[in-house]
Amino acid sequence: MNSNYEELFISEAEDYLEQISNSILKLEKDMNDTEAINSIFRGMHTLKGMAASMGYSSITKISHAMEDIMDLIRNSKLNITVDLIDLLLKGTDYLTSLVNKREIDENIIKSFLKVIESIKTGVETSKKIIETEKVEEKKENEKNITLKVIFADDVVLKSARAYVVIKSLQDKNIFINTEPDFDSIMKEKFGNEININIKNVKEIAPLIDDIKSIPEIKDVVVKDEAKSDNDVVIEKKDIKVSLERLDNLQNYIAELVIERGRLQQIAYSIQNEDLINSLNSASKTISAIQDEIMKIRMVPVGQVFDRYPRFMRDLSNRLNKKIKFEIKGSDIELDRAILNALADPLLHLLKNAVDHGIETPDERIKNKKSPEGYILLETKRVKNGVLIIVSDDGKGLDKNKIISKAISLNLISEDESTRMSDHEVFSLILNSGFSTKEEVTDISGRGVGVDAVYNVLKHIGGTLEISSQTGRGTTFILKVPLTLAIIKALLVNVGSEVYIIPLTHIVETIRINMDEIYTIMGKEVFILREGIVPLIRLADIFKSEYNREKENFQIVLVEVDESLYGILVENFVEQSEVVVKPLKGMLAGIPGLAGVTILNNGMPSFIVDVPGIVTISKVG
Amino acid sequence: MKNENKQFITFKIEEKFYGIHISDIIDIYEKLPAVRIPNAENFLYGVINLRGEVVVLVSLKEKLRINKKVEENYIIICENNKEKYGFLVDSIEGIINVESVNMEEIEEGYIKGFIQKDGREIIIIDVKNILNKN
Repeated sequence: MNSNYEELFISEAEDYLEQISNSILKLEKDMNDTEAINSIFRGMHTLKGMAASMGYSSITKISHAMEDIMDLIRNSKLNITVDLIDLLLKGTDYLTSLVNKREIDENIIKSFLKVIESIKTGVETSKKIIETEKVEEKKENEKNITLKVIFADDVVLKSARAYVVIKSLQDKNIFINTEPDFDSIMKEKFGNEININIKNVKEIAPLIDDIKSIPEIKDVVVKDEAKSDNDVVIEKKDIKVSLERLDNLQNYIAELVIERGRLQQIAYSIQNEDLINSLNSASKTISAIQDEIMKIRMVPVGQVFDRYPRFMRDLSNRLNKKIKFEIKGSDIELDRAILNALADPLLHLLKNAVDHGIETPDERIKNKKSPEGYILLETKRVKNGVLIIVSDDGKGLDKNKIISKAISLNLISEDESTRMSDHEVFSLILNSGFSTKEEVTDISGRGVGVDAVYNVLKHIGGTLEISSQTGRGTTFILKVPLTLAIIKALLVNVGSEVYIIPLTHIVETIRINMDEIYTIMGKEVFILREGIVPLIRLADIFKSEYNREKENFQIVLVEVDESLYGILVENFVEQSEVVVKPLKGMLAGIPGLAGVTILNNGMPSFIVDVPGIVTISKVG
Repeated sequence: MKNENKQFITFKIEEKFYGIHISDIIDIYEKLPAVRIPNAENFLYGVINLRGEVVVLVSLKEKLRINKKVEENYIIICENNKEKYGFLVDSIEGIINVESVNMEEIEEGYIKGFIQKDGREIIIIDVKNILNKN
């Protein structure tokens, strides 16, 4: 079997299994949720077909068995129980493993199929008679077809034409009814088209040709079947494209964008009007393509988040905690690469919320809280990006524990700890190797804490904020850019070097005179609207050569962790869109750098890691 | 086959002769303008734009602890872990074929061995170690 088909099968099967498992969870909450029942049934049905065509017999058997079970439930012949839900989830797990090419002991599959078989026979013997009746009935009304008949724009006798169509169908003994109804049609109370419901016919094409041969009829189409299937059926007009291909496409466009900038520079320098005009229109097309590719890369966050509910259910069961888990804003879109990068960090935050955040039901009752904890994963669109918020109503972060741990790790002194705000204390857990829960569980593991989450965010140009109240809960706010590859940024220079500061961090830009800079406790600051703002000389951070004693400088005011900082540079070059290339190989991990790009003049230039240089300025 | 396997590109660094196995080399360029990498280790000389790709230049003089007196004029592009790197060298000498000469193989740090050819010693550089070992 061709591996391309295999890949496609795996990725589609995973989609279906995800939807199925979510529907099972919905069904667990509301056992009368017919939509969920139907969705599981259809998912299993499709999966069965897909697996059969690939020759995967185990997957085919299991999905077939589960489809049968769902059919019984669908037709109210089998009652849903907690055991049955567990059985369905177990089956879904087996399928997921098999789809991902993980072997399962044949005996396990056999015994699973046996259980299902016994459920089926138990039901079938008692209700056989009713079943056959129902199936007949269902067959009848399921197979109706709706024809949409469209009349020519300049049709003269609309009603007459419609009547001819209806009559021809009546003659064939397949006519059922029309929309609008027959009377309205005769009174010409309809637009340019009517819908006609007819009985199922073996071959629809000749029938359509017949109708089309009637004069002044523009077109006849078979209307799509009822849309109720759409939560499982992937629309045929969609195609799956590997992220790698999209990455390539985006890289080519990125090159093109850089080249465009260079061409424009040349065109303006030689002042050739024709060239400038032609470039401007080409430039618009390039922007449009760039935009389109960006949109293609955008996927709803639900595509990844939908797998969390199952995980949260199992985890809270295992830890004997009662938790209501809710996802909001799962239709908000994000670049696929960013979403992929966030999948594990978010899972980690959710694990923490269950493991360390939410108390046991007993503890909660003791603290006069509802025994059921609440965890929310919410996505919101904001200016320049997306906020992803993980919040719980658990016990909150332990400020004292964090402080004593930070002191023992030499991150802060005891003296400093007394002067720190709550916010500053919570930010301490972003330091690497920080974890307050002493014991090691298999859920959160050792060594990877919130700092790992923070690192991923830094890598994709995002930020992380933490707030927490003792006894009330903890909230993590992740701010991420919409897209990775192309960002808006300010180009600045220090000495002969050009650096790039992403606009996401910039609050405003300010011009400052030498005599407006003060030194407090060895650190340079300046006054902004009666507030004291620390000054960071970019040239000092990057050890660039520049003229320190100039009359005035430019300041880029940035916000990091709710505090303002002024980055001092010599001049602003321009505001521009830059293509971010990640730092790989030997460039990876250099402090203060977030990425690299190629400027319009063809020279590489580094993108400043704004939170990074703030950290460097505090240490140095 | 045998011949191909024993071809080296030779070049000069501060009056001494060095060689890199031809299969390690992707391309050779005249020196291109580079941008300094702030906060990087000394041997990372800078980055260049190589046909739209950002490539790191490695100073062999820093790596091999050779005092710099002469300005480098050429860049030898090699690949490691799918990333391209450029080595700065003073001048390119040519290709040598060492079929008949025994290479003195030593596994020590950045140097693979020595070759004696036409009365001069050529130091063979271990590209992998230079890029991976500190």
